[in-house]
Amino acid sequence: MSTKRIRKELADLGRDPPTSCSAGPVGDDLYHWQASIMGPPDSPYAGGVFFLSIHFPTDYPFKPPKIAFTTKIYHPNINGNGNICLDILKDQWSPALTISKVLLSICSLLTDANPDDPLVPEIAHIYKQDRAKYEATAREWTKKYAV
Amino acid sequence: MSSNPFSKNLESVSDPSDWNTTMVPGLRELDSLQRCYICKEFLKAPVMTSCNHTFCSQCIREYLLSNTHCPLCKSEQLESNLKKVILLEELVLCFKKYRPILLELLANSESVEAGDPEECKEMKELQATANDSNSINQDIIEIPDDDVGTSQGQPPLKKRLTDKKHLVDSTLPKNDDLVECPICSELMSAEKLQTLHIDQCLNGKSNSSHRSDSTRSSNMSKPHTFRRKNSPKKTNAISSFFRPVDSPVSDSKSKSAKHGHTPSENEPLHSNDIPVHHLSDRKRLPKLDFSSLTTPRLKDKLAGLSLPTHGSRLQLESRYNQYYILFNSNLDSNHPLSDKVLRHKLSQWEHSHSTFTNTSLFNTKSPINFKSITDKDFPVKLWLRTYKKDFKELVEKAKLTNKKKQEAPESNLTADSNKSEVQSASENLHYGNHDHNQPHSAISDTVDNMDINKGIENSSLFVFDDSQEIANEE
Repeated sequence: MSTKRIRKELADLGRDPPTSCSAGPVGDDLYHWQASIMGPPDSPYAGGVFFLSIHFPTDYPFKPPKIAFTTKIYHPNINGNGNICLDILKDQWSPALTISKVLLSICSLLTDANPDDPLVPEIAHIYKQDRAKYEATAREWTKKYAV
Repeated sequence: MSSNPFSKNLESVSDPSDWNTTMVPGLRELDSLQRCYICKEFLKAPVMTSCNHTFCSQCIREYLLSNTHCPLCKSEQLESNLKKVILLEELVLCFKKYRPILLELLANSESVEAGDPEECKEMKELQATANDSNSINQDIIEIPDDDVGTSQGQPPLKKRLTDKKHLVDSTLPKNDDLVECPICSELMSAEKLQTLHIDQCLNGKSNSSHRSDSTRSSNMSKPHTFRRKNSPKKTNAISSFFRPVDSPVSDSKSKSAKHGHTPSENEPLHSNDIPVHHLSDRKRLPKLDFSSLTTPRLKDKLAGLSLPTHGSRLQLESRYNQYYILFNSNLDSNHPLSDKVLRHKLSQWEHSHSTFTNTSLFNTKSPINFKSITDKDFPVKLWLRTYKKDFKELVEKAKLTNKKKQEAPESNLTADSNKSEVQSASENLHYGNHDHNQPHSAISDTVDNMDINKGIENSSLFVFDDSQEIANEE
């Protein structure tokens, strides 16, 4: 079932692409995708292009896909390895979700970080205490790594 | 992606977006409503949860093996609470059957648009009906030949269609040269009625001729004997639809039948709907608690189901679970498959899974694929270098979709893409291109763009709605 479902999502992405995102398989492995997200305009990541890697488990969609940033990003919910702290990628995953919806969720995570459930406590701390400093650093990282 | 090896196959993927290019793009909604949230295919043997969400029986059963809540609203769910939805299955089968025809008829060709729309519509309708009346043969071909994993209920459908055809064919000559027996309403040649049948009928022997008629072979051998009312085929076509509901009744009937009549008397009545009848008195497979089951006992259980008993303990368990899902979801279909087909499906499933773990994960050429991206020592740089070209393509794509959204006043894209946007827009204007979205959006600063922005807001809302569908229902 997973192959069929993944192929379907691929077709769907081609016909009806989500805003500011794109995704597709890497090489000849249907279970290994890459994606790109444009930094949301109303965030310090504006102007950046962020790459992500997507791994589908064999029992997809019953298990969530593994998604991580390959582009370095300064964000309270994304760590140095690119791991994303997002509930729908873990215990809140539902087989009714699609890659397209997940990418949109990641987009909105970039706009609205969740400092109360941080993956990188230091960034979350700065985010809460000194928002301007956080935004400056995030912009700096975006320029440095994502443009 | 144009470069990926899968793009060829993608055109054959059926999707609600297929309707976007037709004359009635709204059918997209009808299409997507009939799809399972889990597999995104048309619902197969649909079942409803106690929270009133509908899924393919197989999908939700597989999901509930390892979860205890609804995928959509997260309310607590038990597999035993699933209820089949008979009408929906028939609706979906019907829609699936006519979908390719509809898609073709509603295809948005330029030449058609040029004419008077009303006239076109009428013409299309005419075509549709014409096509319909002579398409019994076509129907059989046009049912998309899915792989085995999705063909639940299809063989019986084909069977029904051929039955229908047979019925139509065989009843065609009736008005010309046949007469109806005034007593039993059977159709036959006038000669036969006068010389043989009427006497038999009056003597009360007509029953025996009914019996022999109901088996198809004897029906064929007596081409001049047809029954108008209560034709066994018609009855079966209808009763196969209702059977699952009254299966307990038919159970008790067959029990009482065993006491009251000899079994041979009952058999011809069911001769036409083999799979349905056989499964009506089936019990569901029980869920096994593997932790309290020794391997030999598990093997016994598998052997009892005529399933292979080789392989590791893990394989045995997953084999049982997969068969458990296949078997129980099969019982939710109006057109269940035989055990043999289920076992074949199971072996296909096992085969595909073993080849997957053997080849896809371990035999790929690239060393990158060995590791998950989330591993600490994942070679990010190598990965980025290897797929640089693909990434470029992705960025282009993302930028393209961004363009569409660009009209929003607060959106500041990179200077580069802004420039190219304006450039292409002015080009469009220059050549008198009246495509509504493109030129307006790009020069949104100079044009009064209230309406456009409204449109954008709506469209982004739509996307948002989509992604929040689940959250809202919580």
